[in-house]
Amino acid sequence: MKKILAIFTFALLIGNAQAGHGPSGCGLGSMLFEGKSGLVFNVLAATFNGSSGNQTFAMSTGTLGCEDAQEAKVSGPVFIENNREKLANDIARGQGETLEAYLKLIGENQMNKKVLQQNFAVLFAADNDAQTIHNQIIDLI
Amino acid sequence: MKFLPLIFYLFIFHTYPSFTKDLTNYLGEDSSQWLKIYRYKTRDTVDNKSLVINQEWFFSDQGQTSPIKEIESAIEKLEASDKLRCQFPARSSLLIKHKLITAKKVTCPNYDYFKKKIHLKSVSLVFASYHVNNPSSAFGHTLLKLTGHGNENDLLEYGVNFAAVQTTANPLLYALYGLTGGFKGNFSLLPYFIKISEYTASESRNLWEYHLDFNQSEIDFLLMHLWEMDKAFFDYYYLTENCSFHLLLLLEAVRPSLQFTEKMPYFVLPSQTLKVLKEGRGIIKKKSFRPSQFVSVKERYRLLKDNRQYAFQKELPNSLSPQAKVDILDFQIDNFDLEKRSDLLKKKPQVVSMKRDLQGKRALLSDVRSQDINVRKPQAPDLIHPPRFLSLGMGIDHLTESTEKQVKNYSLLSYRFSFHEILDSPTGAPPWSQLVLGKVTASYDHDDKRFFLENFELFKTEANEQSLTGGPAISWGLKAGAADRFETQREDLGPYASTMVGINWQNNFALYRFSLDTAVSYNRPAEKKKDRFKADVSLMSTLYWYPLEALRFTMAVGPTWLTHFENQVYLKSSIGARLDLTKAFSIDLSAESIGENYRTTGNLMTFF
Repeated sequence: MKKILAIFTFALLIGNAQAGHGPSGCGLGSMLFEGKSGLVFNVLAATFNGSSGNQTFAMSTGTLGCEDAQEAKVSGPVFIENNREKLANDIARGQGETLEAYLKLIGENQMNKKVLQQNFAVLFAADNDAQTIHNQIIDLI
Repeated sequence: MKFLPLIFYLFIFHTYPSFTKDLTNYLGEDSSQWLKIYRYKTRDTVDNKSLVINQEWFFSDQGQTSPIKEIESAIEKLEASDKLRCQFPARSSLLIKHKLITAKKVTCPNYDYFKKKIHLKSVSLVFASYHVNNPSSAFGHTLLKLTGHGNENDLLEYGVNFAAVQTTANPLLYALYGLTGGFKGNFSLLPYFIKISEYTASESRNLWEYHLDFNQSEIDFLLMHLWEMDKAFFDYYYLTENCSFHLLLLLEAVRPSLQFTEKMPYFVLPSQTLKVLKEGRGIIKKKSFRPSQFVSVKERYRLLKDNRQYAFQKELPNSLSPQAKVDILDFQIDNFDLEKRSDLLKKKPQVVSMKRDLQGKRALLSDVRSQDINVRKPQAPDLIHPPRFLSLGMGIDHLTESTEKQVKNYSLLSYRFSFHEILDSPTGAPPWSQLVLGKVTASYDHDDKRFFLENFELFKTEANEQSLTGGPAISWGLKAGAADRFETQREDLGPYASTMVGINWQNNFALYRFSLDTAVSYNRPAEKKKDRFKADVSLMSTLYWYPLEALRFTMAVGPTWLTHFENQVYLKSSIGARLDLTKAFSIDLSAESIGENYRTTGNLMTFF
């Protein structure tokens, strides 16, 4: 009886899966749910503090899809893809944690951020993907 | 013959396996660490069974239950195989230290890549605060943050998560598996920016970081042990062997003297494990706080000061100073992220275009700096009160049926399993929220000299959301259990479910709410079956008021329509007061009425 009550409770409590999670980018979400869409899969990818069996070998192989193999760091385009809006905010402001992180990642801590700010419209033109944004930033440097 | 019993006892004493004693012969003072890294001898093991469930993680076929057989097998296999030394560097290091295997240089490309990637300098335990809107995250979550040398930016760090490997999206099966060990759990590594994005932006949860005071050799050992845990699987239990439980065991494996296993409660709430962490003899170096997206946006709104009237305007007047325009645009940009997060993640063209317009306007004001966001830290979650309480008290009912009045006196005993209610101390707790699992109240009627079960709350959850601008925001609540309706003046304990939907206005000290409350219940006895089903519908005005941190009040009043009282409308009201005498003891007073029926109670509560 107690188990039934516990199950019922838990189901009631957690049956309302939180909406509003988008694709998980590199790592778990993109590996598992590439090509799949819809609320259920996005929720599975990023919510309930959960993970998936494919992360089993994440530590040993580093193959979350995030790292640059040689540098053992998250690559610039992947960082942009996963932090696009925050990075765009910071470039528009000419300052911010996400911009600092990206510039450090690509080894350009000392770059004049105003150059990026003044070229915001070009960098974040409608069809620009993460690779294009990264390449354009490198060109500006 | 008379010496036979003595010989027998000597034989048993000599041959009875003593795991700790034999391991000490191999590893000396490090034998306890060996047991910890294998997860032997935790409170849930029997006969030293390891919590790790996959056989291939052990060297010996009997490794899961026999530490002696496991260490013997480890010595043999690690001596012979460089590949295994690369897979299990922590075990190897302990055996090398005690000269049980030969020390030699071994090249481990995968482990070296892992070390290079992390470049570990320090470790923090991170608590993602309560998320009442998502019940499986309602108690909070803990993970580890790995800080690398020279990074100084959270977005470049890595996070270590322990979580269930979900195999179903069916809510009932999810509940069943989560509670009964039907999921496997394991450790995983993710770029920390994914967790920041998930928690602070997507779920608007604050992050509390507890920086841990490990020395360099402990840091090195932690990394080796983490590497070994990559392939370890565990049974996942939502209430006991969950994220917090396993993260504390991982830290204990690095420094066994922390003795977290002995200190952990049986039911492991993430917030309670922060208290266990605090007991770990100087392990916490400092605490830091990362606000949620909502808190940051609220702070930007506050910084607008006299310009708040323009906060949501598309076109800003030219009369505004450049700094004022920058402040407003910064608010609008961050607020847009908050409101349109889902659409932005899906890259909906129209939404992205609107966002780019805002950002474009901001970029044109390149000579003006954005204001820094310095949010006042709320009280840390490790300060929250204990989740359970036991209370003893008295009650008086004044009941009126037709023209007859009846007074009943009774003693009360209540117990709550978990977690937090509105009148509990707000320190470190989710603001203006309630989450209860398993609360039972029993009474002893002094006149009838009988015990009654008054109320069993299976669960109760209530969230009173905050508005950015201080205006109205949504409130909602759900409750289910079994209750004896005091106004019916008969024993009619029966199941019920209730909902609350409303709007609230709040500040740090008070909350006013106007809500529609509904409840359905099934109560016996009643002659006709249809009369056993009852419904209440109420329009309630509720006030929560905290004049002092240790003194809290609640008042509610409103008309209620009761189907079981001839479909009449009555006035329903309640008041409550809670005074904290100490951190563990409180006095609770309450009164409620429906029509001409009144109930008053007084209780002494102890939290533990």
